[in-house]
Amino acid sequence: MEKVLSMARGIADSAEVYYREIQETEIVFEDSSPSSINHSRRAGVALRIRKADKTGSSYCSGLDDPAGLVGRAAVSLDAGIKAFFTFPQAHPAEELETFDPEIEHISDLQVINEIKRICALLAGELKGKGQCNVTASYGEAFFHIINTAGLEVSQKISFYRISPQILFPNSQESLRIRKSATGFRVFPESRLINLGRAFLSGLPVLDVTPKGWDAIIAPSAFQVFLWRLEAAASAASLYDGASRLRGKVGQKIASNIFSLEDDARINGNPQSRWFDDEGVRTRRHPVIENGIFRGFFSDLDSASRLKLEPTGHGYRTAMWGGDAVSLKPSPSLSHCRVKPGSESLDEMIASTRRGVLIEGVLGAHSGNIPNGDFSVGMSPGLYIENGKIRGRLGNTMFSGNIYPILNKITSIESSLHESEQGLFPYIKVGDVL
Amino acid sequence: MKIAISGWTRDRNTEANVKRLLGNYLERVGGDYSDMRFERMERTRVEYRGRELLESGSSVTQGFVLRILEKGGFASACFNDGSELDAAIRKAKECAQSMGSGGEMNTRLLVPPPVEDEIEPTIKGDPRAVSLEEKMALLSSYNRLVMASRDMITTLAVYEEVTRERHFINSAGTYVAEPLVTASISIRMIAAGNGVLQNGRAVVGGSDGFERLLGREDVFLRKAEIVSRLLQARPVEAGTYNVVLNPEMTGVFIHEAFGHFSEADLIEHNPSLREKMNMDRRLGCELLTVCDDPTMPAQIGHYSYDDEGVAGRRVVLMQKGILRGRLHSMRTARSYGESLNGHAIAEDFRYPPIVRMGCIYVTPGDNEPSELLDGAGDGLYVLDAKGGQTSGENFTFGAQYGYLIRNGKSGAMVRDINLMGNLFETLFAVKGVGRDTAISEMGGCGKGQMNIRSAMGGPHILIKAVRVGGC
Repeated sequence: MEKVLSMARGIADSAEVYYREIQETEIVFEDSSPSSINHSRRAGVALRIRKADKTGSSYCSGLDDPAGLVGRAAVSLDAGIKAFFTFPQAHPAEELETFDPEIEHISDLQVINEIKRICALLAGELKGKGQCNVTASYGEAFFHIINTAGLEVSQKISFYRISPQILFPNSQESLRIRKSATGFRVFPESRLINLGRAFLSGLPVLDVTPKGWDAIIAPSAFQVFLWRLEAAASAASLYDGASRLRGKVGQKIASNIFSLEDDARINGNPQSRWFDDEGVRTRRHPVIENGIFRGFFSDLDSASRLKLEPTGHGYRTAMWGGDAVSLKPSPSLSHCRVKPGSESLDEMIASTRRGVLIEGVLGAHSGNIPNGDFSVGMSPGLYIENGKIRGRLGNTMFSGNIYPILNKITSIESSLHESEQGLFPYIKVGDVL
Repeated sequence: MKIAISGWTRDRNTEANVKRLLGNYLERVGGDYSDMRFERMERTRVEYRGRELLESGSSVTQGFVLRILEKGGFASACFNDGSELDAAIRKAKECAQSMGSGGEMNTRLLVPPPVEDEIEPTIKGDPRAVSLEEKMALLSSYNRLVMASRDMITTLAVYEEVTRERHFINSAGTYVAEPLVTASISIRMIAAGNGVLQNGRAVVGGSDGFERLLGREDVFLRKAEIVSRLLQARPVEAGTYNVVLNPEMTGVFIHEAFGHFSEADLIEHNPSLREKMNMDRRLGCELLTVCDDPTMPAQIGHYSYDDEGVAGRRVVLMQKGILRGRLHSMRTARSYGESLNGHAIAEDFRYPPIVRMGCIYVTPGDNEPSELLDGAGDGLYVLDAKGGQTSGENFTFGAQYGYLIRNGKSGAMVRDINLMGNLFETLFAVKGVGRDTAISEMGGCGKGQMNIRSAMGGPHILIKAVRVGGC
């Protein structure tokens, strides 16, 4: 990396080298039987350079062709892309508990046996009425960034993730839970038993049409809201004039029991990061506090354009994945957390006269995301009547705009559950269906 | 032992060297069956956000995918560099053994007879030979037109060109080299007015070269005009409608509603769905014939060989409503006892292949589009896809805009249209199929891995009683 940086210095005023390496083994069981196993070791290097007020970039798979990497960045520089940001200065290294050396001792057989245990336990609960799929992955990642401003930061991460799923008959509609940690953990039996019970209560397919009902939105369905909030609270959208939250800092945009923050600094969480993909120190960022919009999150570029302090949210990520080194940093909420409320999920269900527990959705990515509009299929939507789940709804949609709905939140679960972009509780919304 | 990436030019010597290297590598692998894919991927991307240039340049990445079948255990290892081969072999073997003995995996493959082939793509104006300046100028000209349009506040305009130089070799004696060259221009646009933001996207692209991208101002201007008009349009009222889909929507509909269930791996381990998808079962009305053909020239999903070195071929999936075919990998073909058809595709060198649609389409019928509007009576005419998703028998798909149909005539524009259906009901509700047809220039499918080359299309079709979500 130093060689690349040194060569880049020869053609530019300043430069940054980003290195990322991930080793991962993924094991999949479908219908309680082994389906696939894949091991991958991927590395990537990305270079950004700046000369006068212009910037350029390039990337490749390894460090064996520094001349090619620097040469392609030089071509990019010549294109005339205006540079707004400068690379961050050095800051002291910090420690986050994101690496468990035990990860090196996990074996495929150990994971396979854990999957078999989960499948057997769920089979006992389901008594042949549903099929069990489990996906598990484990491995380690290493991030390293150096720049000509003297910054050098690195972090090692280990991860073990497992996600049991029960499929409804004739369908791929499912209930899914997940657990991740920095090392191997036995999946708690109680959570599997609860999953099995929820599945059995949702088995009957009902033909009822929602009207003026409550909705309880599961963590796995919350992405409908999160993606639209993320689009609006991004400093890049603000700069573009395409944010529904423009001019709303300090204003009430949600129920006062709703708070959403992004915090990449939780010990023991394998997703945690003490610097983002631009080397900027991460920090807790309140997005919504007690219903009040607190501020936009940014990467270096959007913060510079708006003359703000960067919030440490520049990640090389995109909605549909992609090779991280090929993506330029952009503002991203990757470590979200909704503040837990005071009720258990059982209490939230028990207090619902008629409503739907939306455990998943189809089409969260469709619709007018910048405006906050959505129109999704429930997948599944578990029908609640007089405080009990009676079955699941077939072919039912949930649509609206997130901003009025955020103001209709009536209760929030006291526990948090893992989802792709963070930790979320079940959230109850009144009279929305 | 490395394949050098600097100064790569594709010529006979390079081909011979890569083939020899991969052959040497594979000899060290062993197992009951093994294969290896090497890819060198060059990506050129130019991006404007609004009027500002944000990105411009080319980059190169590369990697290998090794697969081993040993005593029923089937495993893959993906890695970037030839120097990692021994570690990858060791790990792939460990994985195969763990799944075979510990997991009781019992994979069998239908391995085709060996073939040696080197394919040259058919291209009009090789985008790799076009200068970066010319690509920037073209994208900039389209973007400027859109930004100058009424109510437009910003755009995300992207030129993207991806070349996957693929080399595949297996222990049965097959060696195939085929570059896949894709070039496209996409402009996402956001307009503001009337207290709302509205968006839309226009795309031109394909696998047949740069010329396709030239002179396409009308595509982008038309969509900019529509996005502006959406600011005044009313949200569609939720309910059940007779709908006429334009060709792009028909493509997404058939991709989501039926195509995924033609992918054999999706239902291979789902006994209840597999039973429902028995061959020769009636799944739709007589009007409906559906095919997948990755070999169809020019469309964005074109390929001759899949990522298992199997020749792609046209498959009739549904004939007059009857299930007649399925898309396969070597594993699923063996599992189902059906023929290979070359539909195992990976996003790139970071993944082993999975079963994917190549280019799925509804074959044309007898109706003029105006007859379909007549047939709808009162309903909705929905146009241009905005994503879709399926979860087994249920599916959703969104439209960028639509028009209310009153007495068979297209009327007021409406927005926020998402449609939902059920595989085992909606295909019977197709009541008319147009004689026109078009394959979308925008590919894309996010099943596990992103596949920018998954193409789709068809004619206008009329479907009765579709559930539509409003906003």
